[in-house]
Amino acid sequence: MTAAIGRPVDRVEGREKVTGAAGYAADTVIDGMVHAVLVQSTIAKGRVTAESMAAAAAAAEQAPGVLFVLTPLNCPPLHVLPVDMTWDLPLERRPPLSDLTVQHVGQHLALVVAGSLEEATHAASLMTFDYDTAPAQLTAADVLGAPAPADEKGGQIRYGSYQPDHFVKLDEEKLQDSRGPAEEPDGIRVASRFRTPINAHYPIELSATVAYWEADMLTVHDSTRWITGERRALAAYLGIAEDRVRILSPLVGGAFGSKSFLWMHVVLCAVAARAVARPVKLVLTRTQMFSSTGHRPRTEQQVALVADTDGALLSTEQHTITETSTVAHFCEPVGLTARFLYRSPRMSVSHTVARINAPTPCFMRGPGEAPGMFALEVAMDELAEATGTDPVALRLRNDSARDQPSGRAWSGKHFRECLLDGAERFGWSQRPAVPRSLRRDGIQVGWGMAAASYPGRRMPSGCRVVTTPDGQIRFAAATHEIGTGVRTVMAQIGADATGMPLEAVIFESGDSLFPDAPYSGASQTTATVGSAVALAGRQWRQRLGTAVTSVSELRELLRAAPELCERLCFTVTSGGPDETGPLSQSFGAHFCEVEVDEEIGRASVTRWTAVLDCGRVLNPKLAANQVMGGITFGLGMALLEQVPYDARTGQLIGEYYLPTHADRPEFDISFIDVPDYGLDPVGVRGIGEIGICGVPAAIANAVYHATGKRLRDLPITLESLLEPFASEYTS
Amino acid sequence: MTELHLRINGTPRRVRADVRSTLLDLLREHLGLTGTKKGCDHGLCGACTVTVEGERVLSCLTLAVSIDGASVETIEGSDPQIDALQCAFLRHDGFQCGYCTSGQITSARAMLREVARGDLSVASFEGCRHTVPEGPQHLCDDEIRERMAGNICRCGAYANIVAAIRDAAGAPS
Repeated sequence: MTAAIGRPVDRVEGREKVTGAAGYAADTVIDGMVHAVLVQSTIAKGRVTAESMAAAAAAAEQAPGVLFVLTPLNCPPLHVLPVDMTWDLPLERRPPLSDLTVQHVGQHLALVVAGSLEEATHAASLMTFDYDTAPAQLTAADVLGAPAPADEKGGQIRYGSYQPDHFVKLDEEKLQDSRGPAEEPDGIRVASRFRTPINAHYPIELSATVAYWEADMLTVHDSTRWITGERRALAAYLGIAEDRVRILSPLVGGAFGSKSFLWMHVVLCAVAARAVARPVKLVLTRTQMFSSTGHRPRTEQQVALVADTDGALLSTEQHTITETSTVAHFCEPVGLTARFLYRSPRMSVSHTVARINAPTPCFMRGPGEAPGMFALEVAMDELAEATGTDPVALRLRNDSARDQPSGRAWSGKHFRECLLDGAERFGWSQRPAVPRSLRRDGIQVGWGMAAASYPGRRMPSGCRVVTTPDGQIRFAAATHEIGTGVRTVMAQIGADATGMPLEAVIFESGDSLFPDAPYSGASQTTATVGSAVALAGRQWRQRLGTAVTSVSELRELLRAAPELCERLCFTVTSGGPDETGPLSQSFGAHFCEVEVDEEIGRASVTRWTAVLDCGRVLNPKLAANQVMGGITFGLGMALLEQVPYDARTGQLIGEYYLPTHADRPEFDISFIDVPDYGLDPVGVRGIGEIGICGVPAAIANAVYHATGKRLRDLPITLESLLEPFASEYTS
Repeated sequence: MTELHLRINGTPRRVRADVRSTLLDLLREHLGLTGTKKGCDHGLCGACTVTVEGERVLSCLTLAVSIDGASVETIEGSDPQIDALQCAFLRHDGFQCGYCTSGQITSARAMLREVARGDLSVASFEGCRHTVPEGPQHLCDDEIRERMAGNICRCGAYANIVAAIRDAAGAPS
């Protein structure tokens, strides 16, 4: 029988998606359901007066159709989360509506529940407040330039800055790290400052929650990609046992790092549902998505590279200042890649996080890598020029045989093949080294490249198997279909592990009653849940005791021995990665062509070649789609995307530009496709994030090649491309 | 509340609607047609695209009362069979999360009708001169990209969406 793995199988939920039958959280319909609308702060720092809060609530309560208005004045006390959930994860220390203070524009101040969405929206519009405003700190510069005020509410609200030791729960991913001599050696040196803006995940699905209570049991349909974490955090805020909460996450309409953890609106929706004793539906507005579901925080990075005359790196430094809110901890781990990507006897990386009066940030596709590799890989382009080395050759010269921070060997590293194959496919050898050399129809043309890298990650996961008398094998885990194709590739793994045809296997996700699985992030789901599915499939075959290769054969067996069905229903748990063996890390190379029309300041990415090593490719059709999506995400970051906050007030003052059909290049995506069994028995590493890693740098390097302008602030805007060309190549 | 008469996916419907209701909220919250999606609610993303009298509109920017008597077609359609365009989206993997897909498909169907009757796009002016008076003879990728630019796919399945539309446009219907 043909293996299911490796085939370009269509998405198993594809038919639902093309007919409109696919169900997302906001499509949930429950009898008696009513609608909620959030009311948010319009200032960055201060306090709502109690009188105006009471008056606003009274006004809303009298509006037609209104059932309930939840405010800080009547919100039942919510619990503070245990410290292990907030000290290094972006979960908010201060429970929502627990006081009248305002920490940022767009902070939740009230929730209005009414019979219809129109009624709730109207009543919410009646809620205006009087504020006692206070001076806000809106940027890291504001924070670092002033003494930090004292913490408030027992540390729930904090000010000033801090230097975290490591990234989230990953002890070995050091955010303050160094090796080699204290002093920077002499050599050819490039040193520059880079800036990246606030980016929004902007999933097209708005975050939506439908919550209802049956006695003391809470059920929540939510757009989440971390069912088990949400269950725990929601139970903790509400002060109820975890087994009293069921989370359902049907299909998720994109996440990209958002829709993880528990955002405060979900808690408020659950509180309101208990108060009105009816199912309550809350869908955030697009504007509320910016302030209420996380974002990629701003970064300012100082990068310094020193090399000898042959281009061999002697020193690598990357120092980052980034921002979080005053109520939650998050550090964009910008410098992690610089610790290992290239062999460098000396390395120094640091991160400083300023707590500002802005919404809480969180992971976003390629957290750390997206902004960090932008700076590092542009700096490498600068070093290539400074040392007179071809950019591809410079990277080959500095390739590292080991992971320098840990001293561990790599588990199947194919970085060199990615660089060489990519250069060949793109035609890199035809690239003139001097900028402004290529022109087409009166438009400047540039070619740029950058490396890509993302860790191979894996965590423990459960998997349940149910075998039905009609010969179907149903695998299930509390993971999520966010568009990555998890239901499809898990079915492929399950089919091969059981030896059954793909048609016999179904993979279900999105219910906290399924065995626990981690968040769908960090590009780890295929390795993580896939390991559990593979384990379950192998056990299934052992329990069956005889080889079966078709649904009809299995059905016959089950008919003859009905007790077999029970034996073929079980749950397994697979573990995390081997921490002692070789280290799994994906690598890749991006090559692109950019056209810059300097008369109108337009940069268009016309052609893209990417060669990636992500272990074994389970489904080439879905994998290529994921990588194209990652590149498009990076294209947006490079040329379009920034959340437009007013620098003086913190108000959102415009729209967020995204790549459209008209903006994407022609793609040539290929994979090395060699299994990495060092990480998991399936041989895969994730592919969700490596697509974006290095992309903004490849584009910025191509823009430099086209125009001679070294642009180090993202996004690269029309204004910066319109500026008259200066004879000096570097700014 | 006001009473409206609409023909939705071929079926005459008499509905009572809040005068503030958008067509999108009417479809989703009152008629149970949840295939049409709310992505921005202010006309930026195209996820809510439906057709009114055969023309694509953003249902989030269309007040329901403003189209009394009209014929509305949503992704649910009137035919339980999937058509060539839907098949092509499946085969070319023209989506990931699927949230923009209803809008992409509905928009593409109407777009192909616009091309068939000779409507021009910006891309039409970049081709041969005769395409301006006569309309594009050949639906090239640039035409599709330009004409579909109002439907955002954050997952970035654009290349596959264009391939699906190109494929379906060339296939006998």
